[in-house]
Amino acid sequence: MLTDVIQAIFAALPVGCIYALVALGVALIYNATNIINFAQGEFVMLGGMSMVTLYGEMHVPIYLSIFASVAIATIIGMALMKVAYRPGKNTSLIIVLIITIGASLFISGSAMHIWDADIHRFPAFSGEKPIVFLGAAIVPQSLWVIGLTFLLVISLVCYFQFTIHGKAMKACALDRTAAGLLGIKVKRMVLISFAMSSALGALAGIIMTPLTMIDYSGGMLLAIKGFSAAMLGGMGSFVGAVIGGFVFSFLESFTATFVSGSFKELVTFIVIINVLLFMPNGIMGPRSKEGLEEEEVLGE
Amino acid sequence: MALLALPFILGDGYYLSVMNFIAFYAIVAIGLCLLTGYGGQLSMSHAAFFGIGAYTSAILSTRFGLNPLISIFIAQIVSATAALSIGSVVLRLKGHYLAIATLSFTIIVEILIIETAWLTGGLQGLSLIPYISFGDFIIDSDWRLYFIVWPITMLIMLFSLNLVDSRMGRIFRATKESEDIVRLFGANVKIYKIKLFVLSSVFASLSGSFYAHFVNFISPTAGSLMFAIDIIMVLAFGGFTILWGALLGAASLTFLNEYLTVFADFKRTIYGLSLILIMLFCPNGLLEGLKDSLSRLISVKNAGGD
Repeated sequence: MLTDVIQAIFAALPVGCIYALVALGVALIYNATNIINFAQGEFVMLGGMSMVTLYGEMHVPIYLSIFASVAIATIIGMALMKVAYRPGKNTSLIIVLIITIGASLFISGSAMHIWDADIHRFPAFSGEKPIVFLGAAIVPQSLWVIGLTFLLVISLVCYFQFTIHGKAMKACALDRTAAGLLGIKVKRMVLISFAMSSALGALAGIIMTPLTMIDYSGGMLLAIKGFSAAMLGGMGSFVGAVIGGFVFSFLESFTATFVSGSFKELVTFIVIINVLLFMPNGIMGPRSKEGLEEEEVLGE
Repeated sequence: MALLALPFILGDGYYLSVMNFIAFYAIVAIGLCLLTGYGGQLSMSHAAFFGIGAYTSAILSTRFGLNPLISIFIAQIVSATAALSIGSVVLRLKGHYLAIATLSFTIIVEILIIETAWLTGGLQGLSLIPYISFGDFIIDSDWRLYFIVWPITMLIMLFSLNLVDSRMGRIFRATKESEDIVRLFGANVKIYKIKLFVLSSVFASLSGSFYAHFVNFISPTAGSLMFAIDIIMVLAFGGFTILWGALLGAASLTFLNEYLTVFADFKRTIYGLSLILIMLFCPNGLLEGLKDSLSRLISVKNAGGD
């Protein structure tokens, strides 16, 4: 019983990290633009798939292939910004939402042609031999995932807390018009937020592929879970997004261990609907009923 | 009239079956057009209701031997009840939140369909679903189905056109602009939204039931995420606020699908690209986009002449 619990925790931790990174990416873009980016999961897929080709098949040195994979996803992320973010034009919520859905389909469809429809992986960073702890096993790659996610989250928090750039981005998230009046180049900040969020996604894909494997599809599901995790944590709070990610991964892992593997996603999505209904501001968000009120989309 | 004459021109063959598929799509799209285009509520749960309509009717008629006409009727009651219970909680949400909540509902329905294999056949799907029949008259050809499904589509279209111009329709359109103002004028927005949601879900489910009984086979793709996107494609093609656009959109998507079977691998890419392009260049649908660019062309010509 105890072993089962520990095993479930070991399974949940790395998955939670991945959800947290996706949630952070979704939150970054949502805060800067009020766009829910359905294509967020595709960056994860792109990062993982590029890494499979570069590192797994062509044996490019690991640092170089990580750099190249992140660069590929980032460029596509910035291209997406050019398409989806169009301030000043009378763009309704529905249109922007459909554009990101379209982008998600386009990217995953193209990936299917560039690579194939198979499931891929590449060797773990440092060996595949599981470490046994209290009767439960954890592979070294999980530790990599946990460590790197921790580092990424810390550096993000520092960026927003201590650098002038980060503060400018926070200002944009609060009020784009006012930030613009203060001389902050809002458009550039939005571009940076898209770049950062696609890079985060790609990194998530790179560290998770040796563990979970990857194929061209499945990005959209990841994006929906990421959005829900970000919202459970309270949009705008980084710590909240991480907590949200872990809540979902623990839910799934424990359902899979103690109820049934096939119902784990059912539980997730039932929780998602309830979170939307009862906690629209999440755990760390402000205590108001803002989520139920009219949203302003793409202000001038 | 043209629709009446069409089967005589096309004959009982491939194109007539394409026409029937257009009708299946169109009925769902009309429902979503009412809800999203006129009511301003972006719902992604229509694929789920199509699935519920198809599966309920199929299960009742294959596993319990009910007459398809009765099972279709019961399926609509089931869908309406489901829509009522989901709608009355979910419609409190707005914008993105509503979209994600309804999308989650679609995914839940898809998982339930796949996981309850003893009832639904799971991933293998459910086959040998009986045809609709009136006594000895069995609806087993495209020809016969055409004269059932298109009159129904037209009835639904007429009903919707009237609805849009009724008091209820005006309230929906006003709700899209500002819910608070409608509330100030004393209309119970919440009740109207739920009514609209139930109505448009039942349209989707009706289409699903007919589909199941005509194709005789149903698989989980009927209630899936990809089907939800299909329906959004129909509206994107036709325009979100034009009811007739639903027909045009359904036709465009069906033909696109038929031609894409040759390049089935490219389906995702082409879907994605066309969604982006349509939203960027003619967000009001292809028809309006064409009209716009024509009038721009004419005005440019006039300006050049002056």
